[in-house]
Amino acid sequence: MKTPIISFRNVSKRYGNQEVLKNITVDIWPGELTFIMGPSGVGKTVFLRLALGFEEPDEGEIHLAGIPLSEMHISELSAIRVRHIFIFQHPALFDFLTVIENVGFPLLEHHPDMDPPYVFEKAKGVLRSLGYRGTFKKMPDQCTVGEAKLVSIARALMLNPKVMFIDEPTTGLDETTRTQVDHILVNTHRMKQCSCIVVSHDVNSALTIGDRILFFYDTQLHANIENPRKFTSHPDPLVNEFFNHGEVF
Amino acid sequence: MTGRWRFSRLLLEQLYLHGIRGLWVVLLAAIFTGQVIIAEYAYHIRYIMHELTFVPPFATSMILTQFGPLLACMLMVSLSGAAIASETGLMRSTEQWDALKLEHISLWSFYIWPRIVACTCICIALTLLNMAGQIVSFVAISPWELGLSWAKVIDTLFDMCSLSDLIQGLCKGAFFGFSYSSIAIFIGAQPGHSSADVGKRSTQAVVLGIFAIIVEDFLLSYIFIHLFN
Amino acid sequence: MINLRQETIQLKTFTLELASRLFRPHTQHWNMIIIGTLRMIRTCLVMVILSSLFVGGILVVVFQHHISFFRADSILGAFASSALLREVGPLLVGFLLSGQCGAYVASEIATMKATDQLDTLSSLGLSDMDLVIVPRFVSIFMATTFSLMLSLAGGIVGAYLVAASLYDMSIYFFFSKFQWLIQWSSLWSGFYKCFAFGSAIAFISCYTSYTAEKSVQGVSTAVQKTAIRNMMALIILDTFTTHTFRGLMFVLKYFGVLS
Repeated sequence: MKTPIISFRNVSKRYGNQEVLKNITVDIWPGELTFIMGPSGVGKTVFLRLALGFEEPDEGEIHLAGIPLSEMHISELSAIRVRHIFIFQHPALFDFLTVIENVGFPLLEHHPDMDPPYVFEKAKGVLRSLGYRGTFKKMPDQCTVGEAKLVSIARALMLNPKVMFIDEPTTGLDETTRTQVDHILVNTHRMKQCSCIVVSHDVNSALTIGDRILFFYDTQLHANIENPRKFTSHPDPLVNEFFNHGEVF
Repeated sequence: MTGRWRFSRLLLEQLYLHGIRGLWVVLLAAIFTGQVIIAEYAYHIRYIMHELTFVPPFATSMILTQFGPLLACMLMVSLSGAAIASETGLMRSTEQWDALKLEHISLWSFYIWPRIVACTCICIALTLLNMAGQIVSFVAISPWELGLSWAKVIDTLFDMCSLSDLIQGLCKGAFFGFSYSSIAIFIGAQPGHSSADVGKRSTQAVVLGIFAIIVEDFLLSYIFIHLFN
Repeated sequence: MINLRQETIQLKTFTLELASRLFRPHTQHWNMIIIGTLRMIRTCLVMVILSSLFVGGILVVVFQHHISFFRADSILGAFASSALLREVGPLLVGFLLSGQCGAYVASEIATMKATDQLDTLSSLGLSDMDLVIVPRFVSIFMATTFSLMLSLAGGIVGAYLVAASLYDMSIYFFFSKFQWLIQWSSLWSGFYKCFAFGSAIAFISCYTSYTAEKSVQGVSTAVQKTAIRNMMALIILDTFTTHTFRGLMFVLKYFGVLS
C-alpha cells in the first residue's frame, strides 16, 4: 500500500490573531505533479513550510513520508529532507560561493569522501541539462533572476530528490525562462520519477502540466481538482473565476 | 505649518526617540564603569603614591574630561547612529528620499538637521548623566574600595577639577554627537545600494562613528588642555 | 513577560546547541574558520591599528596633564601603558570591534536568514549551525581576540609616538619606569579581558542575528541590537573581569603561587 508523501489532519496555523490555515485535511501521493494555487495570502507557502517542518502547526497533525513530524527528531528530519527538497521562492544561493560551488556544495557536504572535481563536473552537467548558459565561476549576485532560479533547481537535483517542494518557481521570470522552468518540472517529474509539489500563480502551467490542483481560499482548502488537463469548469464559481482570470475579485 | 514650527516638532520627535532609547542604557553603563574607574585608579595611585586620598579627585577629573563624554557617546553611536543609518538607507533604497526632493521639501530642514541637532543635544545631556552616574557609582563603593569615608571622598571629590573640565566634557559630547549623526546620515544616504545592504550601512556607521569619536577625543583633549591651562 | 520568557528559551536552546556542536570535531570546518578569521582580521586591521594609536595618544595627553601637577614626568609612559593594558585599550578598541566584526557578521547572518539561505541549508538536510554559525563564532572569537591583543601593542606605540612628538620624550625615558610599574599581572589582565570580550562579541553577534526576524527590517534591527548588546556586554564584563582577576590574584598570592 502506498504511503502519502504528506498527510495533513485538521491542521490549523495562526500568526498572532491572524488565521493563516484552518482545519486542513489532505493527502498528497507520490508520483504526482501537484499544484497548490489560490489568491495571494491564503497560506500556500505556509502549507509547504509546515509540510517540511520549517514551522509547527497550532492544531492538527502532519505526517511526512508516513512519520508524524511532531515525533520526529531533528536528525531524522534532516535525513528525510535530503530526499524531500524545498526550493524557496527566493533562489537563496549561498552568497559566499560561486555558481558551480553552490550546485556542488550539498553533495560535497553529504559525501565528504567524494572527489570535488568529479562533483563539479556533475554539477556542470546538471546545469547544462537545465539550459543554464551563464559562466560557472561567477558569484550569485552577478546572476540574472532566471539564472539564479536554474542554479537553485540544479542544486536541489544534485541530491536526486524523491520529492521537490517548489515555491513559486516562475514568479518574476520572463516568458522564455518560464516555459523553460515548466519543461524542467515535467522532465524532472517524468524522467527522474520525482514527485513535485508546486506553489504557483501560473494558471496555464497548472492546467497544462499538473496532475492535480489544490485550490486554497480564505485559509481553507476550497477545491481539489483531479486531472486538470480535462478541466473545463467547476461547480464553485470562485474556482471558475480564479482559473478564468487568474485572480478572485 | 510654518517652517520653524515644523522643525521644532521634528526635533522634539527625534529628541524623544533617541533620548529615551539612550537614557537607561547610559545610566546602567555609568554604574558599571564608575566602579572600574575607581578600581583601576586605586591600583595605580596605590602603586605610585602610596596615598589613596588622591584617587577620588583624579577619577573625577578623568570622568569629567574623558570617560563621561566618551562612553556615553560611543553607546549612542550603536543606539542611534546605527538606527539613523538604516533609516536613511531604507529611505534612499525605497526612493522616499527622491520623493521628498520631487515635492520640493528641503531634506536639510525636514530630515537632516532635526537628527543632527537632536543627537548633539542628547549627547550633551547623556554626557552629563553619565558623569553624574559614574561619580555616584564610584563614591558609593569608595569606603570598600579605598577605605575612605564617604564624607572624606565627597570633600576631596572636586579638588583637581574646575568648571573648565565640565565645559570640556560637555563640548566633547556635543562634538561627538554632531559627528556620529552626520556620519550616519552620510553613510545611509550613499546611492547605489539595495535594501539588502541596509545592515552593512548600519555597521559602517557604527564603526566610523566610534573611530571618529576616538580621533576627535585625542584632538579635542590636546586642544582643550592647551586652551584652559 | 512573554517576550522575556521566549527570549530565555531561545537563549537556552541556542547556547546548548552551540556548545554541543562547538566541541564536536567532525562538525568543525577548519578551512571555513581560517578563511573567515583572516577575512575579518583583514577587514578590521587598519581601523584597529589606527584607533589603538589614537587611544594611546589620548592617555598620554590626559595623564601628562595630571602628572604635571606632581612633576613626575618619568612615569608618564609606564602609567599610560599600564592603564592601556589593564583597562582602556581592550574596552575602547572592543567597542570598535563590536561594530567592525560583531555587527558585520550579524548583518551577514541576518541577511542569509532573510534571503532563505539558512532555511535552504536545512532543506538540503544540512545543519545551519554547523556550516554557518559555528565557523563564524570561532572566526569572530579568534579575529577579535587577536585584534584586541594587537591593539594593546598598537596603543603603547601610539602613546610613545605622541609622547615623543608632543612632549619631546626619548624612547629610553618613555620606557624607563616600565619594569617598576607594569607587572606581568597587568599584561595577563589585559589578555584576560581580550579573551572575555572576544567570546562575548562572538556569542552575542551570532545569537542576535540567528534569532533575528526574517525580513530586511529584521537585518537592520539585528545589526542595531548586536551593536548595543555587544557594547553593554563589554561594559558589564569589564567590571566583572576587573573584579574576578583581582580575586584570582588574591587567591594566588594567598596560596603563595605569586609573591
